[in-house]
Amino acid sequence: MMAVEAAEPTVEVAAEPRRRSLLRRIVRQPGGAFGLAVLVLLILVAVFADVIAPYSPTKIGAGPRFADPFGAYLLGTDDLGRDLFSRIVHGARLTVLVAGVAVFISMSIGVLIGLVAAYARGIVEMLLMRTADVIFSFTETLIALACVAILGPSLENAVIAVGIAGIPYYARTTYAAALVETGKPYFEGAAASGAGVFRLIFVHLLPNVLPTIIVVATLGVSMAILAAAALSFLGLGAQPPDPEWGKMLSDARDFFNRAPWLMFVPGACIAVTVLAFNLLGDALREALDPRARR
Amino acid sequence: MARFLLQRIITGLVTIFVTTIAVTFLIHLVPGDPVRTMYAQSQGTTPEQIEEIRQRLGLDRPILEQYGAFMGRLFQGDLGQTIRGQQDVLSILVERIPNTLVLAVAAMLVALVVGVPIGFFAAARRGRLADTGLMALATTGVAIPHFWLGLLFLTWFTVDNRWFPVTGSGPLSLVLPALTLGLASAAVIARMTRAAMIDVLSQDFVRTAEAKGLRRGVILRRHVLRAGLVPVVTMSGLQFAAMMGGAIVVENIFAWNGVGRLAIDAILQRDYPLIQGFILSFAVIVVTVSILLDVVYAFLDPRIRRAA
Amino acid sequence: MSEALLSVRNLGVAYGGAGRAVDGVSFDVARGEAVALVGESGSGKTATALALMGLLPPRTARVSGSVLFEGHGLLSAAPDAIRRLRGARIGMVFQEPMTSLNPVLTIGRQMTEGLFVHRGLTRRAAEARAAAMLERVGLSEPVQRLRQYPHELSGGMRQRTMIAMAMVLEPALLVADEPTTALDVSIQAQVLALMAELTREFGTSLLLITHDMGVVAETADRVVVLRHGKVVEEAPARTLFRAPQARYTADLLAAVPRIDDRSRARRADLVAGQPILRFDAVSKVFRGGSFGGGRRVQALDQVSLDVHAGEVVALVGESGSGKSTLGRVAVRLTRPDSGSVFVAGGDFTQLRGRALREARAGIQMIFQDPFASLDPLRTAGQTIAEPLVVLGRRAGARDRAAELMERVGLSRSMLDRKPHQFSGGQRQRLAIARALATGPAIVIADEPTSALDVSVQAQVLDLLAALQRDGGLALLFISHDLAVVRRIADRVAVMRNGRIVEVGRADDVLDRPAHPYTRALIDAAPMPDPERRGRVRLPIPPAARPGPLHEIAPKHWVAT
Repeated sequence: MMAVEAAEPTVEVAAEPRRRSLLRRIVRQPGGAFGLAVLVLLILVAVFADVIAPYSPTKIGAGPRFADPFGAYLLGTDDLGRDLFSRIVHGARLTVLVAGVAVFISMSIGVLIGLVAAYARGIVEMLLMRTADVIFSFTETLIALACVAILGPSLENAVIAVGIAGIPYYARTTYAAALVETGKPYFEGAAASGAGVFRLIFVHLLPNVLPTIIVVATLGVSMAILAAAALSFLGLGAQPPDPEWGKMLSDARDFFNRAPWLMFVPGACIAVTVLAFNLLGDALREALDPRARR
Repeated sequence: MARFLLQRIITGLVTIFVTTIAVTFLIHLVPGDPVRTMYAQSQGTTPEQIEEIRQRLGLDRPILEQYGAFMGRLFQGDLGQTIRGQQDVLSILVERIPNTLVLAVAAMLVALVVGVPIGFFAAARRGRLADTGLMALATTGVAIPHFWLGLLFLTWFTVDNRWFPVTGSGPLSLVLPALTLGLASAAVIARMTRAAMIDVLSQDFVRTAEAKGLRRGVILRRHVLRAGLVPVVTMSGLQFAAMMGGAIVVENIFAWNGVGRLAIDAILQRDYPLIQGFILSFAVIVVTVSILLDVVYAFLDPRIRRAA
Repeated sequence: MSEALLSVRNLGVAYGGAGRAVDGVSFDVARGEAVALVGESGSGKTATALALMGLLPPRTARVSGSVLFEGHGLLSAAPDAIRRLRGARIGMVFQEPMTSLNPVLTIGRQMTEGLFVHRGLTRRAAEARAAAMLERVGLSEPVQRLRQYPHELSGGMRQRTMIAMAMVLEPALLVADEPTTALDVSIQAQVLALMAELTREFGTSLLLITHDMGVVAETADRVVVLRHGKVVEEAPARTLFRAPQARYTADLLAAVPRIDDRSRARRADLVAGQPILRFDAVSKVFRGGSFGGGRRVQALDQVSLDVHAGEVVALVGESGSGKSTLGRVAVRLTRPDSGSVFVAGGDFTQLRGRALREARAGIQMIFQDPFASLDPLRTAGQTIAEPLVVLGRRAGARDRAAELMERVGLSRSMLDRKPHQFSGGQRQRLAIARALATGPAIVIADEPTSALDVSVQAQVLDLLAALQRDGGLALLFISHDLAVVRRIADRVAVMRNGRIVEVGRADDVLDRPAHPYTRALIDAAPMPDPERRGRVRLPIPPAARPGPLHEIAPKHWVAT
């Protein structure tokens, strides 16, 4: 109501350099700045893991068993004398890989399903979205469990499982956003101008739902990290001696009396990473929200 | 409303039906020979044994026939026997499911009792310190993996004090797993509730209520809360399903005797009939809960309750 | 004028860092008087109303000046004191009856809560009052209505309920913010009459906020014209409409289309030869809900209509009449259930693939909402050139786009701007340019000006008329506004419930309407002329399925 009164758009607005101002809009929010910083750090650590880590993550007896943190070993050592810091650093690499691949699987398939369903309507729409609804109602953890049940426990399979489990989430959110767009007159205008299926979907629809997809994917990274870590925690994902954070957490269970840090550090790493992606997603949403802009 | 519920029940039955198809075909999705893959890790399985299991599972017959046989047995309440131990799958599930349900319902209560008031309060104080603080807390809460929270509780209550038993199946043993599971969801629900309430606060009818000269408290309680609860109920349904998933993890931490532990063992041992039964029973629970929530939803939203 | 009930002095509203939305506005409302605050978008009229009600968000809006109401300083009083005045002494009616009522509470609950707070009535007494007031605003079975929810009422009934809700407390002042903008003309006339009646009966003053000069002329004793947050002119309604003092007011009044405007030169009869667009017994049914069990709406019922080369045919009707569906069927955004559409003689409904794309070049469309009808991510040039690119005519498309920009009155230097950098009127010009890109023989314009301010509307109408005249373009002009139609149409077709009830030359249909529905519709249209207030109006006839069309005069067809 108020916006209509207050903001008759002016013609004199300078063409806006979109990318730079987007970054600025993210960084200006404390959550966005934090999220972005953690993301950059995580990627750097993942890329340079070999350089950063003083020991091999799987090297048994790199030090004494259960060495205290902040001594010769920054984060101490575990029950097999492996250097926890090195394992955490290499765990970051695994986390980036796991999340990246899983999100890629779910996003590429889910977005396509969502776009096609929103465009096609009718029977195709009903089949696709009802199926997605049914699967979605089981939630990620359960679908991922079912997939691992079929494929068998291993890190690769866990990644595939998490990827598959995420598909309905992307399909649904893309579908919802695309449905809004296809209902707008500009989309119909393009259709009335004679634009074909591919042009409508990839020239008009996809760019307009992209902001939503970016936000969804950012939040989806958190979900993927959590789900993969949960699977590994249950022994259905990463197998020894992989330095996967969830797996490390579950291994630490037996020693929480002697070496609580073994449990504290990997858990905190997961929490901070997930928090970072959530905050980044929130900041992106805020920055990309057309209502918040102008 | 009858029509709405009927639609939901039909949708639910379709879901369960689709699940029965999925669990039958599931085993055939495994690349290569399913039974051989199943026992690839276990040593000492002879080809004869493999052939025997294949026959027992009916895998040597055409797939439609397998499905027909499966459905036939299902209608007689027969979910088959476990591969290891030859126990009746249905009776195992019936024994364990109530425990999981108790845990999930208790956790849901924790989540709602903690989450909804926090979200509502934060929305009412939007932009103030209380809102910022509560939402920072909730955002952090969402990020904390429940399996980690569970371990922290475990450590805290075994090492530092012993208010609650950390394992077992008594009422007091329920406290820690329910808190673990519930608090994570409470954070999610708090965020969702806040968003829903803020959405309602921006609507025209709130301004109408203000123009009537109602007190802010009355507006919040009567107009905003009521309208804002409608989406919260919908989202709570998904949260409950998520909680059933989370229960599997939490049960494993606290040695809670539910289906979750059973499921992990079944997956690790690739006990196919048990996995089938487990997935099916979860489908039934998820569908039932979502139908129950639809009733609540219809009760809250007259547009559905009063639809002809 | 007696003593002022409401006295606004030097009111200012500023949002954040932006300029002032309201800047030094002063006016009075006397007891029993009806004052209209009128202005186009951005004039600050709504901000003024909300400011004096104390309903602006306190943390984003800064309000200055003074507002005196019955001796209370509204801007300086404690929030609780203002709250006690709101509702009790000042009632308010908003624009959107759909969203202004709480969907999850009964009408009775929402009507009585004010009575509890301000009058301390018992539940029973409050409900009796509410029911009496509902009956007074013309709702049947008022006691049962109290148990109903807003979604169970029609739009017009909801706005009546809103008025009843405000009037049940017998306020001294009723503030109505665009109370009829979301309603159909026929309902608009009833609601305006109701408000006038009630305020007279209860001796309530009325502060009406509107953009519509017709509504002003029908309702107000005195008019305050706002522009860019400042008062441009203030005068008694009759004086203002007869002899506006400010240049802006004069321009504004001149831009308002009038249904009795007969100045448009009659054009030579164009109805000859083969039609460029022909609807042949087109029907369409929409079914709501899943499982096929939802409501069945007959949007189009055996509609036949021809549009000839170079003529402007207006398709007129209220919401739900099927006029927009017919337009969508013409460009194949909606497929008819039965019947055919012929474009330039070829059956458009049967085309596919390349042939369809080629045929689409001959028939283009302009949509209502200029804010939503352009892809926000694509530049003006890309948007205009799209129909050409689709046809594979990429070469020279940009030059053609630049040329079209100039033809619709935009500078070619704006070619690389995105839609959000254009104003509403400019966007509609862009949409027109896009529609013209392929050089179509006919353009469907679906309410192309109804989202625009009057002054902008006049410009866009002039542009359409000029393009149409110079280019020999045919137009199917879809509109709910008969006054706009008078300004542009050669022929008029009136639709109701998916049927055409009357069709003929514009002068015949508008000056000598034969169907009772057409007559009632013309009567209901608000006139920007206070002298014509209180004229006798024919009621809207009950909705029966109109029969087949008969020719009552040359080229003038009316349904039986």
